[in-house]
Amino acid sequence: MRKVCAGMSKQRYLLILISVWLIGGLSAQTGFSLQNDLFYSNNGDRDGIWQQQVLSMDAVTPGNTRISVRNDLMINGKNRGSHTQGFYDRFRLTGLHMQDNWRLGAGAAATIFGDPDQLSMYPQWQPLALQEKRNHVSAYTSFGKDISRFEIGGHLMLNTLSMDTSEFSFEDFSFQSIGRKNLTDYHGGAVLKAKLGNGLSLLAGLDHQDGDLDAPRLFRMTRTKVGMAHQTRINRQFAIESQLLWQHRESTALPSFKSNVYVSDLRLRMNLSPELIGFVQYTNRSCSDNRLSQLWMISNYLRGQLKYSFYYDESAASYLSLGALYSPENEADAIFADTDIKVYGPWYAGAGINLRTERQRDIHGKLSYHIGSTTELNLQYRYRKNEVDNWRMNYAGLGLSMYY
Amino acid sequence: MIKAIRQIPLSLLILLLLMAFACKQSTQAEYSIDTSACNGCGECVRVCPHGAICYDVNQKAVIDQTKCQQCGKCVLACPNNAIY
Repeated sequence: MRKVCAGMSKQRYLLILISVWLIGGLSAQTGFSLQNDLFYSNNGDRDGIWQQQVLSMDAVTPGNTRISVRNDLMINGKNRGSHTQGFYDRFRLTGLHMQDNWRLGAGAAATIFGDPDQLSMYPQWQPLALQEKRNHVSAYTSFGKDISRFEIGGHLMLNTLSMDTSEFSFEDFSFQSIGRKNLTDYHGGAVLKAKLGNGLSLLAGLDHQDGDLDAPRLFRMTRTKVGMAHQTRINRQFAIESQLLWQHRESTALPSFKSNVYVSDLRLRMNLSPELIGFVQYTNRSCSDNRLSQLWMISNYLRGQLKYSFYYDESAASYLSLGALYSPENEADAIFADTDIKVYGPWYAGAGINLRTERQRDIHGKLSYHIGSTTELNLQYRYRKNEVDNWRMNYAGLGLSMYY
Repeated sequence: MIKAIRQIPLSLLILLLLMAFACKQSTQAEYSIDTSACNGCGECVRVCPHGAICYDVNQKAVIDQTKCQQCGKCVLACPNNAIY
């Protein structure tokens, strides 16, 4: 914490916190949560006791003009798994003004990466350079207007990623720091939707992005998209949503056979009872070159989920969720389940499992004691084994959560 | 069930079948984010070694395909299994 504040942004960090509290104090709905965990880990080089703190604050104002502020601060005594940062802070400020049939929005977000590893972030372009992600700042404006059956919208966005960069020196055969560099992307887009009735709608849009960092056209891409969407309710329990989208992409960063992407999406929503809801979703992404000489499959994505809420818990915090995901092309298959159940008085028991075939296993359990409606004391156990990068975490923790 | 199928535009059904079974698999992976499953937690942003993931105007994560090196770290980092 001390290192982060000294390095990047003590002033900016304080400004963020002051902004959160100022806007939060003026608003009607504010939230505050603090999760403090003390973990014991037996994971080879990461053995020992360490602390994790997650501090979240959010505020939302009601009415035609809605301002939302949220800050998530995470401080880990040790880097967890594949995370390369022990410190991480994410701040978001968004505003939306709605009047009659138009909308105007603006927002900003800042992410601070503390103590990152040196990585070769652009190995193909800069093979002899290493970067450390330091902070990422983005700002956007958006607008939308409804005109009869038509809806138009657009956005402008600016993203800046700051990195401490080192380049390999052939004079002394080591990496030498050359200071901080900024990678800035510019995004702009517009979309037109037409509602044709009976749940059928058409859309057309254009997005353009550009980037710098000494390579002006490397991250340039223009996307043109045309699509149709359909949604219908079969009865009180089932509804179907479908979408078909063709996207044409112009970019030197992409191979020619990915110039055109076709996304087809089908989702069945189920509301089987007040306690039981779920959905089944299938998405296919395919691509081709401009001559359509061959249609290539990028990925299939089949997902199903069910969630049962236990009616006996008046706070509606007791549930059981089950799901499965099938996406073999990108090795993203998964079976997952999660539950948190009120067992006796203020005592809750939770457990979860997330199996990513043979790539990663994630198991966790939690026993919590609710002190009133704002404070929770919990005992956690987590186990995660990653076969791809060959690491595992096996730890138990004692945590305190407070919500206001 | 028949009633349900009739509600789906026929063209979409044909294209779904065509794309699912008639395509050759691409030689290069491309990861996408299911925005309906993404809660914007930022885990993928943290682990991406190439700075290729940022947030869109809806504060959902989005992959910049011009920067993505297809390492797949984000897939396993996502707690909601939203990346495929």
